[in-house]
Amino acid sequence: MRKPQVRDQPVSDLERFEALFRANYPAVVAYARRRAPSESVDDIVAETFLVAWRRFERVPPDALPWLLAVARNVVGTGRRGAVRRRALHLRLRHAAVGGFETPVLLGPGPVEQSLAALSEKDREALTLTAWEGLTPSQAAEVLGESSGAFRVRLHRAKQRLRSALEQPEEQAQPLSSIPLASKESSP
Amino acid sequence: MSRSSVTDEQLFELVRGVDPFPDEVEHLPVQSDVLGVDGERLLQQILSNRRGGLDVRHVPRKRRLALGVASGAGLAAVAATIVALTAGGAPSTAFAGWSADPTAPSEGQVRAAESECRRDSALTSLAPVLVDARGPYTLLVYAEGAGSLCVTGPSLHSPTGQPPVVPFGSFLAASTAAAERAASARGESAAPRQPPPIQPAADAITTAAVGGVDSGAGGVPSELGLRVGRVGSGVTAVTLVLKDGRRVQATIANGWFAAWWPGGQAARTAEIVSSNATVTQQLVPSTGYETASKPEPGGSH
Repeated sequence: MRKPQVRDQPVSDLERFEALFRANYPAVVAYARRRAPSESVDDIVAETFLVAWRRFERVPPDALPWLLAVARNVVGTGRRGAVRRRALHLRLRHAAVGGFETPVLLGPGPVEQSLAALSEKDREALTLTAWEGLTPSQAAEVLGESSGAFRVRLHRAKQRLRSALEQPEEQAQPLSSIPLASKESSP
Repeated sequence: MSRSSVTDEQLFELVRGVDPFPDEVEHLPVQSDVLGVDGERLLQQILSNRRGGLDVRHVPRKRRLALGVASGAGLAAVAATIVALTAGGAPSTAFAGWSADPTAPSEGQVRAAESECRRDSALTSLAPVLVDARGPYTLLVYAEGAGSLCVTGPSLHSPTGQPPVVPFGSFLAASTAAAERAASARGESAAPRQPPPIQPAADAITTAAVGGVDSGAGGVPSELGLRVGRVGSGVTAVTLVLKDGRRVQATIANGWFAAWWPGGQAARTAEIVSSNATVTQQLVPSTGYETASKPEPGGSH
């Protein structure tokens, strides 16, 4: 597991924060790069560490899950803002939109498409463990769930991904036809 | 593949296999003094603020700017497409390579700009009537339909992936409505004056859109100003004179003119060269349609 640790016994808040920053900055950058357009990464990372700085007393010793939970919220806020801007834009331009919620960084292959068809939390359960290398308890913290609930989610996410991968290609549902609103509540 | 053929471990490896940045953490030093320029800068910015006194508004971030255009005579119609200016520093340094005079576009510059602008579905099949190149920046004007302009350049991009296109509204409807309002205000409701012509006098200009890029909250554009409109049939050159004295030569093509400049200064006058003379036309802050003032002689040529 890739688990950055805070370095040697800092003595002041400034030093402790610098240690936390240096230890976790690469992982937060990586998380943002995997989930947001490149032009948004710097803002997401800056906002995440600003929150950490303002709420430094709340940052636990194992800071990475806490930081990624913040980053996840920042990414989500930006996405919702983008949706609102896009909606305004659409009213002006009368254009069509499709698949906006599709993760921008996922490619067109069957695994990527099957991942994209999962709910956001199911997808995060898989990617936080496979991409970020978090333990189930760390990933549970990022998603704001108990460890037990997360293990159930991860198990079901694997089942859904496995089922999607085993679905015959001719029956695969085009991503653009998946109702966005039903993604999170799908069984 | 059969259901039993994919184990949890294999599934895990499949997911890892589509990681868009598989070596992200390994390639970045975890216990390192080398965060990269961006990381070190961000760290120092945060540390330079005292804990508890940090104001997020004061923390340098990418500026989110809104490209807005007021269209029509005095109408407050503002259409906004969010555009982010990634370059830091003052506006004057943010548009490196900008030129007060139009420049010849580099090879592929116009094609790249058109490609970017045509991502807007309304422009997919349209061709611009005017291409204004200033260094690496390209402004395109589309006359069909409601009319649109699109501006591209190395420090301009859309954080949401939207093309940087903004419509400037119905040219005729806006001018007619404004003229009728003005006539009504003068007690001439029974016989409103003739709306300003779409096609200006031979040695004059009318403005279809004036606006620019602001801080994202609307208001007066403070980062970038622009003016787009029509030119009379005899006009061969237009130079906009800003309130701070700067002179910006407009591009003219197909009966249209366009110019833009860094900063929030408005254009005060237009020096218009026609086949007969050079005249100076007063411009109003909002749109040229309210410039009832007649062109003032500025000398002959």
